[in-house]
Amino acid sequence: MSTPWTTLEKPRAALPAEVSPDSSRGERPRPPVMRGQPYLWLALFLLGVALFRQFGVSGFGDADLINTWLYFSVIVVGFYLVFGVSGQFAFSQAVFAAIGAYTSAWATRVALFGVDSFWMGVVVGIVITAVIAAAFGFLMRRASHFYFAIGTLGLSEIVLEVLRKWTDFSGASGDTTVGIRHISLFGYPLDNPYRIFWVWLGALALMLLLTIFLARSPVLREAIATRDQDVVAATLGVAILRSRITMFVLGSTIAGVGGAIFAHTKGFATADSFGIDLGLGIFVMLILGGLDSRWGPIVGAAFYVFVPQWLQGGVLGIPGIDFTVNVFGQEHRLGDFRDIFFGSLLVIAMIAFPEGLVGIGRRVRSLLLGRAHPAQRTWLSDLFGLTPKKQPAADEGARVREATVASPPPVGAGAIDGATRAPSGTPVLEAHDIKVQFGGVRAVDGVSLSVLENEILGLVGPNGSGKTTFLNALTGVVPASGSLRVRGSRVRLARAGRVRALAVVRTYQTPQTYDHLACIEDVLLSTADRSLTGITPACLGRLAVVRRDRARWEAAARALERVGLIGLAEEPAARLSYGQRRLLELARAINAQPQILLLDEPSAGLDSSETDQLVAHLRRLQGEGVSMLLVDHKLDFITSLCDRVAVLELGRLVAVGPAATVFEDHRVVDAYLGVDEEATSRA
Amino acid sequence: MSNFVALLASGLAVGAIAALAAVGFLLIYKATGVVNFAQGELITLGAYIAIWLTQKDGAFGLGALGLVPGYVVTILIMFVIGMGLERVAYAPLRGRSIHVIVITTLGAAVVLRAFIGLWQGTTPQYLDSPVRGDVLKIAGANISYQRVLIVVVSAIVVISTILLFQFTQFGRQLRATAADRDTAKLCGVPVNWLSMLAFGLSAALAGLAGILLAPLGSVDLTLGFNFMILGFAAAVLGGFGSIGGVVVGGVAIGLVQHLFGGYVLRDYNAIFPFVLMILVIALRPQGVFARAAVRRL
Repeated sequence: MSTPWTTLEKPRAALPAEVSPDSSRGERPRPPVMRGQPYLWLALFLLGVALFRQFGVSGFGDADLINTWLYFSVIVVGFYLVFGVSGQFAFSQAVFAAIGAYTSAWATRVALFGVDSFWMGVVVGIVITAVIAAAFGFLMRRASHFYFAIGTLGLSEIVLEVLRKWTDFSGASGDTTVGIRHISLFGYPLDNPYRIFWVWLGALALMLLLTIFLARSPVLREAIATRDQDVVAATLGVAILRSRITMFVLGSTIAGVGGAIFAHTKGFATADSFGIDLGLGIFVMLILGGLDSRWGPIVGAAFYVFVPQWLQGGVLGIPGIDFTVNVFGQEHRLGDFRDIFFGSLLVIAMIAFPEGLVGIGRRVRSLLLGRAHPAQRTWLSDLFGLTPKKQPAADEGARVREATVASPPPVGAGAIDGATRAPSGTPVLEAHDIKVQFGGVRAVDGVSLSVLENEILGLVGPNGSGKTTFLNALTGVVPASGSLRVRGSRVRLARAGRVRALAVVRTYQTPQTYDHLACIEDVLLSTADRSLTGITPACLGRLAVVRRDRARWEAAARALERVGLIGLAEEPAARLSYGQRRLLELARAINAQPQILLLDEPSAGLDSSETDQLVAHLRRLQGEGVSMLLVDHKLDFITSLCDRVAVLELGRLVAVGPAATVFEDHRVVDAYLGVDEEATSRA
Repeated sequence: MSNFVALLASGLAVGAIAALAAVGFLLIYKATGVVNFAQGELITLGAYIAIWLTQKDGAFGLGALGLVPGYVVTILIMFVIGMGLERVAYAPLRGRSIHVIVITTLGAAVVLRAFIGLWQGTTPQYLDSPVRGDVLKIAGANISYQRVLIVVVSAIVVISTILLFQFTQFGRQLRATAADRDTAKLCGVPVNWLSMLAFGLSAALAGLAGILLAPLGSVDLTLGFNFMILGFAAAVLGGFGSIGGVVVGGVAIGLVQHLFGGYVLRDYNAIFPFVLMILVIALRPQGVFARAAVRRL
């Protein structure tokens, strides 16, 4: 199926207007991650691995290989949270594993708290890893991508050097720390690969469960929003710093756990086993596996561990290719080309299949099922009747058509409301002497402007007069000076998101929607109710989180319904047209329950009927008591909506007042049309 | 006093080394906005190619080249390799996100390192130098001529790179490409050719760095990576992207490492450059990135 959005215009008028927006879907929309059966899949996966190991694997070598696979999987699941979800370029995953390993080994060696069991050690390892990761994450809080990457390289050098030199801590003689205590369970030592397997499987199960918990709570979508557009996320009210640091600490700590288990199962450790080779290997595994799926790490690790073994002559009873190649006068088995193979695959993956093996799997599945894009439903859930009833694919077109046609809001009602609730004259947002400087240019030069309660204040001016920059200054997106009060309370400038806490919400000149989130998730980002959005409730208070989030979906669905996008709620925003993105941004603003709305050229790129709809939406919002600052170019749009109009020119305010008087003002005419030189000289 | 002079000299030499390692990746960074994480491997490769050309049988049994001709040929080979790298690992990805491009350079790093490992094995090797073993005595301190040579060559490289960027047509076009590739193209700047040249030059500088750094110790697979990280630290300190700044940054980390590390916590002197770097990122994360981060919304 090709993208239907381009052909939307024609059938539009022909459709009956009374089609209810969600008639094709028996239930309310929800974030797509809430569909599907991740717990079932996890259980099946664990069962499958356990059965395979138990009955399909013989020999210490293969059993050990399976353990290595699980070890890498654990570390890379952590890296999936840091890099895949949160987008942080960290080379530090391997050294956090080292920190976990050495700390745990040290704690059991010196019998900290008088206990020398592995379980105490791993807890100490977790705490120390988390503390170091948090401190480092905090230090790096303002670092850009490259700086962050380089900073983590520096951290790796520091940690490895300290581990090599500080022998009192590492307990190493030479390069190697030996005699690390084995794990025991109920007094039963786990000292061979067969037994250790169960520890690894348990650890991986826990980590995967954690990723499911995060996906089915606000944590993951907020992390993705922070990754893709941090400034936008901040102005919507997402705590971006918290999101970044939490994901970094969480992912790094998972590596620490993996490292600790690794050290205690092997019984020895060297700093070099956590060096740059593992660091690069972690990247290879995640990216080859697929960095946007929790299964990516597992698939990638399997590839990384088993394929070279297979090339060496077979693995897990599967006969492999076994021949030697003469390179530079030396005989090499194919496994010796492992790193060349992986490195080239990394390059090829980036060029040809950036979604990794899991992405290829999805594409193949879609092809086999004859779908243009992956659906949430699976054959297994169908078999057990677990899939919520969905319409067949043929209905998709209809659903999409509704989406654009659906429910222009009752214009009359909103307008009447708006008329009855006239602006009261109390200022709700007072900006005083706002200045923004870019190098030598004063983009905004001492603008003082107040938005009155329940009014729509238009802000116009020629290109480059500083309108958008003014909005950016108010919302903390650019550094600015001056003072800003919202309903009497002072707001600090140059901090994105500060005004959001006071129910001030903005839209952007070009719609800033999230391609990697479904529309409903996008709308959910702005939710006013930010309780239970952290990782602690996500993991420990599942019921409360899901219940609370369900209420949030309801609110988001209402907002989408209001702008007529309900039929697209579960589609990724990337599939929306330009006009629909504008509506999505509006829905997001509505869902934020704003008292003050800052709109940056909301009518740009809309045709006349879409503009009419927009007018109706804004009138209705005004009727609900929202005050607005509206930047736009279309003068008739401004005149029809605004109670007052302010005019900017070259960063200065030249006029404020009712539209009729302002547009008569000669300074405004001059600003827009240029000065009549002759007239001026005559005067 | 002699101890102080020796430490000071070591510090300066480290600064010059870091600068030499850094100029290569800064060149690409300035031309394309990408940090090439394979730069360290290129340094290693340069050292190995020089060894290969100058050892007793020479390349393909053609006989050993003299040291200086060997160096020159190495740098030429590296130039070609850099251009090839641009075609294979960068050109197909132009316009993709920074993440994607950086990961690709990582892939290139993995491949290069593995290739060198297959080719030369893992046993350390040694590169000869025309000034090997000679020592300069200043105020009672012994400073090897190799370090003096590194300082001199670094100075020449840095100055000529700055001149190249500021005062030549090539430099102007490079800066224009970095600022806005599409606009530069519309203005008739041969952007494809230019980014190949930038990668070639950068690899040639990596080769030069490898040649000069290798005689300081043994050559193994981690040679370039270690120096590159030092170069990163210097670049961060100097305000990433400024070629003059990298010298200042390099000398700063060299002095911290050898003066601070020489008197306090001697065992851990290798970590000081990175501690300093992390502090700089924490306290002054501005620089080129801060400007790049202002997007139009």
